[in-house]
Amino acid sequence: MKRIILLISALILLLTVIITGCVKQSKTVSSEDINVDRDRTLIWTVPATPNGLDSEYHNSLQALEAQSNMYDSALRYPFKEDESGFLVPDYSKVESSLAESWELSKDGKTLTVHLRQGVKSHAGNELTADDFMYQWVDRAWGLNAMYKNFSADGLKLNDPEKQLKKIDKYTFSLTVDTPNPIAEPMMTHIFTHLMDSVDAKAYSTKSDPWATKYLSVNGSGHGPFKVTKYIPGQQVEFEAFNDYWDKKNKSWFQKVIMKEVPSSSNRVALLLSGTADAATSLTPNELQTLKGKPGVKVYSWSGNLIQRVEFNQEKPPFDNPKVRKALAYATPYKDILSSVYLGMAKQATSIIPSTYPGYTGEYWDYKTNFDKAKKLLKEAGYDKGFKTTLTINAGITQEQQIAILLKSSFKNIGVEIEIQELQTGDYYNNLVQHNMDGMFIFQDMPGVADGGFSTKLWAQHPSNINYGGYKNEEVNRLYKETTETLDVKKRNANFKRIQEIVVKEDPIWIYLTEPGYHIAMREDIKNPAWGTSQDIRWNMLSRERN
Amino acid sequence: MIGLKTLLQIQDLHTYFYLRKGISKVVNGLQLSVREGELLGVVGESGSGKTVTAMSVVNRVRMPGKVVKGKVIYQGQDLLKLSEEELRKYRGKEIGLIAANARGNLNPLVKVGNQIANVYLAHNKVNKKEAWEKAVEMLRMVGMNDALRRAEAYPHEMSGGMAQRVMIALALVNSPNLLIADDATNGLDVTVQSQIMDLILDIVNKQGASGILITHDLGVVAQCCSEIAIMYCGQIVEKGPVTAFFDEPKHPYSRNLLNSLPERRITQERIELKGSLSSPLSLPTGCVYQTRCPYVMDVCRKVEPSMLHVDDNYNVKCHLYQEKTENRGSANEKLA
Amino acid sequence: MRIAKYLGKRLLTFIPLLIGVILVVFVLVRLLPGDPATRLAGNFAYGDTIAALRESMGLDKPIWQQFFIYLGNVLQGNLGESWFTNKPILDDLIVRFPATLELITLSILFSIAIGVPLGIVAAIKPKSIFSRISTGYGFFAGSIADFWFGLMLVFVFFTTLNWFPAPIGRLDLTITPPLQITGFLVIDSLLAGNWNALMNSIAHLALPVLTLGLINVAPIMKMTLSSMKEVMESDFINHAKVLGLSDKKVMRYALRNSLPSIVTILGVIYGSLLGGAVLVETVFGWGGLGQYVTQALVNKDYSAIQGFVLVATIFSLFIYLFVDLIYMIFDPRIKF
Repeated sequence: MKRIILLISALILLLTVIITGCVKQSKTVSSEDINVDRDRTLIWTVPATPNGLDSEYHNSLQALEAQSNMYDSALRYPFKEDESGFLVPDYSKVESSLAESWELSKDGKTLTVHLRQGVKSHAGNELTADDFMYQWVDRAWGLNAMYKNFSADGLKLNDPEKQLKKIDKYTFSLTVDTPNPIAEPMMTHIFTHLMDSVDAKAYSTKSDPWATKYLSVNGSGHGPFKVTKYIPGQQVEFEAFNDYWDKKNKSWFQKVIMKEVPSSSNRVALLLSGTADAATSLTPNELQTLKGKPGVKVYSWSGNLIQRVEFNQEKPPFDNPKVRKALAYATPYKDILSSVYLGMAKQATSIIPSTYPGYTGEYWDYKTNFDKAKKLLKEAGYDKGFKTTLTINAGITQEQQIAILLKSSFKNIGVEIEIQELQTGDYYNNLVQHNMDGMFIFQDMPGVADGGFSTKLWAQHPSNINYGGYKNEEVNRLYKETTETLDVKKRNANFKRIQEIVVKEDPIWIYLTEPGYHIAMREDIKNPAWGTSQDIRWNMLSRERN
Repeated sequence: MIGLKTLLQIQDLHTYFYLRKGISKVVNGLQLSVREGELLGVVGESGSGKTVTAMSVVNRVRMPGKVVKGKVIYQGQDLLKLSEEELRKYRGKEIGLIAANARGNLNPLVKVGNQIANVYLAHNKVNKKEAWEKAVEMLRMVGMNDALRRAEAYPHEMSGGMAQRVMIALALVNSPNLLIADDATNGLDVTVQSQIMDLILDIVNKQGASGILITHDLGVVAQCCSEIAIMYCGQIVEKGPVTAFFDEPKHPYSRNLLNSLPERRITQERIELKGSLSSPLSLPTGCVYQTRCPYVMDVCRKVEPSMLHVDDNYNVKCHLYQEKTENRGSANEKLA
Repeated sequence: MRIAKYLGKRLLTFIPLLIGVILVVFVLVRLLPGDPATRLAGNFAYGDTIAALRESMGLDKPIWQQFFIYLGNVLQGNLGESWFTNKPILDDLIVRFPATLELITLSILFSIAIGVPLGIVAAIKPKSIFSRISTGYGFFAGSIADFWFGLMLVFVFFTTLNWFPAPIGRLDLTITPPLQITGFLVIDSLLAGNWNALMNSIAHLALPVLTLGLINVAPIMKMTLSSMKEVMESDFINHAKVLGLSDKKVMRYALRNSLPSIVTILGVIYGSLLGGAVLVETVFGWGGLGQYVTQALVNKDYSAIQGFVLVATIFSLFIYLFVDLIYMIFDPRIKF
């Protein structure tokens, strides 16, 4: 017996040695923590850590927020203050960021950009035109992901080697076939941010020529924050970048901890206790509760999200606009806004977000009216109704409530729906493969503040993210015209007509809500600034203790 | 050697088992007494309630059984009236019990030496070391070679005979005044059986204790005991000195027992009496032996016979002796 | 040396078992709906990008070929790289392993400290009010969901009373963790003499340990109760009482003999907690293995899931081996 005890202790000892041995070996995470006092540390609670930090691949909300604070683009929108003290983009003008100046040629086809001199990256390398060239000519086309398929499209780039030209160390130009009215807005986008090519190249390997491994967990930007610790599923830590070029907007906070707190009620609890400085992605209920609580302030902004019911328009019955219209008349808008969103969302009335230039809400006139809906169904030949499915994303709790409201409301006009709830991953898989059948609830934002961008993404045909397959020749033509002229009047007229069609004449969706952007923060945190990709710019924030 | 003082007296003991099928009257009006220095053999078929009787004596009948009536008077004290705490002064100290199936009754995870020492410790103010020494001494006493090493062994490391010796050591470690050996040799092979019996007798004699030997084996009783009691269906049907009994058993059941076995040995397997034992779940009114008795009379089916005093120290529970006792004659003539 | 030989044999049986587990998990994760390449590529990657990704991830090869490549890597100690954290799986797991181990070890110790005594009391005094309450609690605790219980504790003890720190992991965000030696914060802070970190890590451990601990009291209590009950009814316990052993001694006998089965259930619970603490880890933002594997499942991070299952299996196998060795200490009947 004694021998067994001895043996067991030996075994335990051995295991401990193995485990600690491994632990010591793998201890790559820097343990030299700079001790920053709590005051200058911003604790930011999120439902999940970013799915990665490389904007070519990673675009969860948290990833975009991290990237927006780590990287700068060539241009940017200035901020304006709304009535609640929330800083939001002023889309009426574009200002310089990493570009010191830029000019668009008379014919609107060539954009010449002069970069600031002496801008240092987090790695300490100077920003040059080579960085831009590397990013587009080499990396974007090499990876064939976000930059090539999304950003290049917006910039009208299709052959970067020919179209991009390095003029001198700090200057480059971009020449396209037709005038590009959204070239400037595109250059403000997070998915055209610049990066330090010297640093990225240092981490290239044969099997990973574009340093995706490095860039997924580190940063190589010129923005106000650099990432210091990235522990997926737990937290990401950022440190204010001391050599940030924009001295005026250098961060007051020295450290930001983006902390994963999966349960939203725990995020609320942490905020209330003062452990956390901000709680993101809260439910309408929680936001309403927090509004009355001392020490906490809730900021809301209409933002640019549009939530809607999309249809698979390639198959009956949704190929018929009358059917789509009928369902739009059978939708309980008021119930959705009041009982699902508790007044925290706005009615969506157009394909263009209400905060964007070119928006008009005048064509949306869908008050819930079952008689009208029934009449339309009859005209479409479905007077007996039909059966279909409604797919929802399990990751967005409100969708389930909306789906139930829709189901009972559509019953009134004989339309039976079966609710199919998919896990977020599977939901997106089905979506990107254009596999959605029947109807599906979807929410998305056009990332470029231009009246045509919504149409470009969702309504023109073909488009990779026109998931429902909407096809209207007039919309196609009107949209194409807006992409080839710099004439603001002409463009606005076209946007108006497009909205008339996709809202009223040949509705593309059932317009549900603009859920808006909401964040709850400690009261002493001042100056929140919202970026177009649903992010808060931490460098603008400060803590003001009374 | 046998004194006249009664050491243990069992009066009208009823121990019932409350089963789902009904009430099983396993011990049913048992009368028995043991005098100081007496060695009493209790003989009965299996199922006659011998073991339950033994357990009732130390008031340790297990659920769902229960002593419902009667007295167990030990040195003037009714054990059935005592609390568990008070009983502990008797159990293992005054009354030692050797059970059958030594393996099942020994703690499989404790060294036998410690088991004996624990029993010694429970009744004596000694330290562990002294108790351990006593345990080794006991093992030596019950005839184990190499007692020191044996004390360190676990029950599963011992043969059946050895384990049984440990049981004896457990029962005797506190030198009890009354030793109850319940089928102490059951399941052992014949040579070991006699060794064990000799051992028990030897120790009982040396310590001057009284003993109750519960067994199947009439031969053992004939050899060792001074008194014999025959048990049937939870009752003692005949009790008397051994010599008198073997000369001339009185009860029809006793006769049957002796006749059926020429070599005077009953084992569980070989018992083949005509008819079957009455079930303790549904005992007949009247005499419990009526179902097998060749001399059954009307009265046997109606009235339960009482324990009749037929001779010096000799009792039998049978209607056949009713008139004889009344007439002061002998029933033997009629039976013969 | 027999023990060493036995250990060697046992460890050898791990190999086919582990290969089997690897194969099953390998196939099962590939049956999960959803394609990791699509997931990894983000929303704006199309056909050929995804195809290229699939190739670089090795997903274009036939599944059996993928399996042998993986198996070959595992045999060289390479569990692959996570597609989402871009780190070697082994590093990811090792960083998180101590967090979970610390949590579940303290939880199970807590459960033992509460559950075993409760079970013993309920077994010894089944009719006392105390044991009724504890039995009732056992059934109550067995039927509540751990994450719900965790959330309730957070609501009461953090949100309302503010007695315990926020559920954001193992330390306050402002406290610098001690130098990592064992990975157990409590031990590491002790070694570093970091009083602040020690108190803080204990405070952070309190609620999750309470959650898991109180939930697991139920099965431990029930198992203790039932095995104690079984032992209490056995012949040798009865015989110990017949020999007049004290209640305390009898209870120690009973506990001694129930220990093997209690240890077994403890091993089973402990082994399953490694992955079974997922929801509690999520509630308290623990950042352990449970949370890691949840993310891996959502992301269809095949190697991470496989690596986790492998580690969890090895952990369980070692726990079972320990349990068997402990069993041998407790039960001398078991031979190598």
